[in-house]
Amino acid sequence: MIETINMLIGLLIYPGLAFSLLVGGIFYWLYRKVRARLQARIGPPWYQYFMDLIKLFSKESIIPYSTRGAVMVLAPIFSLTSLILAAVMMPVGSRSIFGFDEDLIVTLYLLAIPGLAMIIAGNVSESPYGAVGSSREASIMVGYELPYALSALTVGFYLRSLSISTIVRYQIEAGPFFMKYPLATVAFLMCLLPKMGRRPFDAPEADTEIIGGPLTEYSGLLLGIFEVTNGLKWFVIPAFTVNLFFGGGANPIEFLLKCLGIVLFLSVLDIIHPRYRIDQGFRYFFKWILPLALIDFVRSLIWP
Amino acid sequence: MSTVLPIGPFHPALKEAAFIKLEVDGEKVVGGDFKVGYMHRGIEELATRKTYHSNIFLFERVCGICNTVHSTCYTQTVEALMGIEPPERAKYIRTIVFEAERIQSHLLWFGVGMHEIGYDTAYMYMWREREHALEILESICGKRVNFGINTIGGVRRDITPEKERLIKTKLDILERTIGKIGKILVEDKVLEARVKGVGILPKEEARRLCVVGPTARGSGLNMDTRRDDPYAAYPNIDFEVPVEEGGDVLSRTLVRLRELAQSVKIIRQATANLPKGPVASESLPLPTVGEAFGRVEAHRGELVYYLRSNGTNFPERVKVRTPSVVNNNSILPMVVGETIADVPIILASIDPCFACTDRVTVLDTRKNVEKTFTLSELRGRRGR
Amino acid sequence: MKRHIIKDALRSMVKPSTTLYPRKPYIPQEGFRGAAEYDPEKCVGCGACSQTCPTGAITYEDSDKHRRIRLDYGLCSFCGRCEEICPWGAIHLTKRYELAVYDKSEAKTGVDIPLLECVKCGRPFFPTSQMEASIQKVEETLRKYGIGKEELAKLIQLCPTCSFTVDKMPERRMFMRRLR
Repeated sequence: MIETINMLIGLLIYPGLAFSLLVGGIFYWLYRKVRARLQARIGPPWYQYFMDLIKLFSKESIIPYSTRGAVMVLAPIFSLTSLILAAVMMPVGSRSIFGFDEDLIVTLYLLAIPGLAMIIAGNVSESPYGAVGSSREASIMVGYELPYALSALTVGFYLRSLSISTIVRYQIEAGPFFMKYPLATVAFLMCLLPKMGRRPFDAPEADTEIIGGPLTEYSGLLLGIFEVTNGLKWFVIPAFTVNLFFGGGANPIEFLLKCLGIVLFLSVLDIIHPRYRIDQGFRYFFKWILPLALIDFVRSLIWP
Repeated sequence: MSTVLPIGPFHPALKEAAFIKLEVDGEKVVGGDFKVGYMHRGIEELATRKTYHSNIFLFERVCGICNTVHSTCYTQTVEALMGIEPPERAKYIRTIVFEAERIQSHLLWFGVGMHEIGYDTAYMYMWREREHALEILESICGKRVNFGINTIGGVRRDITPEKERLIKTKLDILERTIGKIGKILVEDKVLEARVKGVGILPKEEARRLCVVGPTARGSGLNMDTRRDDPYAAYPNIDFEVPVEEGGDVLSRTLVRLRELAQSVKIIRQATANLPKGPVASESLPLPTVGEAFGRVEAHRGELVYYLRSNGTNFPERVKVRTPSVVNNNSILPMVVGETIADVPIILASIDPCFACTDRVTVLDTRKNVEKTFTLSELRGRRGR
Repeated sequence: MKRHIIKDALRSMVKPSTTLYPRKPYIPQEGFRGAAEYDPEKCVGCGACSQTCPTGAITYEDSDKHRRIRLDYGLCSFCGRCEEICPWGAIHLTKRYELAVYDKSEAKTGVDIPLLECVKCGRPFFPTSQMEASIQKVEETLRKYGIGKEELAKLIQLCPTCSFTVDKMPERRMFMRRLR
């Protein structure tokens, strides 16, 4: 009985849906506020993201006549579910509620599902903008998933373990991993930009070229679920980065402060760049980021 | 197998409504079609029912960005028809307002161009500097758009010494900004990857399509109505006409950047040499029967007005040929062969103003005949 | 590499260039052409503003007791021609630019001028203040000839139909004799 209640609290409140959504919403607001202030504007108030969610959930969701409505409804549900599971497995501070021994690989897979959901959503919505957006999302995923996975596995291979909690505990004793594998850290940080949909690699959602990209035909409740996914991403992905490379944090306060640093870094990089074309972005990843990840990966295999 | 990707009538890349139908194959554009007509308001017909003086305020509203250009060209054409000459001070004030609006229009274009390639930060900074140009205009004319500074025979407001001091302060700020924009454009590698070598319009093609303005000057054609056919105070002012040979989006950007610097120079000379005297001439005869023809260098190219009078206070026919009508012909040749991601910036680089473009033309492909409908014929068709 | 943008960004963080409008109001410069307001003391109801308005936003109509001059903000183009042309200085463009209303009939302004009645047939035909202003303009001449205002008024305040009969009026003969 206590076990079930504990599990439900962990799944829904801390560090499950409610906590991740709240922290993710605050981080998203911080990104927008820093962006506004650096562009000489004032920026939205702190409750803007939550008000947007309430507004989206109260509107009607229109499904185009000629599409497969079932797939269109399932795509956002898949992406939301995978992110909630990833959030629940992530160690916050140094304890993790649902962590187990192989959760590095499982988290990598779960965090790739939102991108796939976008590809499916773009294709099934029968609009030319959706088709172009989903093909762009597919190309950029090919570009960044490889260095992303290689950098994450670098750390795992060094410790001969695939459990994030073990990685965090090791870093609390021996120092964070970005000192040991700086190239993998840089490669991983650059891969975060297209994963979160930030410039200079946000070509799949370029609003001046293809209106909404894969999400053009979504509205109302379904778009609201995609927005919840976006907010959760702003918590889970910096948390993953901090756990792998930046020490993890002995208590939740230190952990959240380090996540804040990652969020600020992403914001500043987003502001000072225009948008790369999709072929230029793809070439960038293969030319500059993949070699960095490969060098550190080979280093971790050879020199234990 | 090509899909059709419509750009417009509602699209974030367009500032006004037009329909550009692109046929794409993957990410590459292989063909297209271009349709206008969404912003037709019947201004030329309405102008025949209002007096010459009221039409000054009507023609300002043809375009949202180049207001005083239309008003100045119309006023000069009417003055040519009536045979009166405005005083020198009025000509200088017209030039100052004209060039201040050119600064405002080019800074707006820079902001929009940066937004099309995703560089929102530069967009915000350029529109912040644009406020200085708008404050110059607000102090001289009283409004930020649709100024109404012209009247037949001169201008309606004068420039006091206090306003001259304000203009000088703002011009210093604008000069610093223009230098900063130049540096931002040059030192940014991602920007260069997006605009260099994109949307090339070769010189012969530009001459064949008869493009005007910065679109032509970016492809190597050296034409500028301010120098070739001077009007207002331009015969007494010394300025250069920038020409680039590249023909791509970067050349057009550099042409507009240098035109900004030249505008600041022109305003400085005009304010320094402002002659004393009245600002409007006192006598206004009725126009004689005849025709008149006037042209100015608008922000997007050469603007031409034709006016025909039958001796009354109402014009018989006013015809407006805006530069966007000819510049829009060059969109499709430039876009075919490029990727979808480049279409917004190529479209923005010719600075299209679709509100100025609309004329209704009917093409009958079965009989190979082309006919333009006037408003009365359209009204007859609707049965009213 | 991106020195200038980063420098600009840090400078902008300290000083934003947008304000919290509408919580903080924005006052435009002097000479701004906002909404027009009539001065009821000075307006005589001549209708020059409605003649020259390019869009036809100013209209006037004569009802039985008043001449109603109305300016519709929905049609106004804020050009300022009415202010330029008014001979009495009775209309001015203020700095007010927030003109949104919930009810379209509130977006109007205007003046009601009481109409003068004809001394012969009693029909109202002319604005009172315009008659007074016109009589005031010839006051000097009247004093020179020793003519009272009421005597002149009896001859002038005739509606267009009755003024055709002024030749036969006995007051006119006496008036013309006085002028010689």
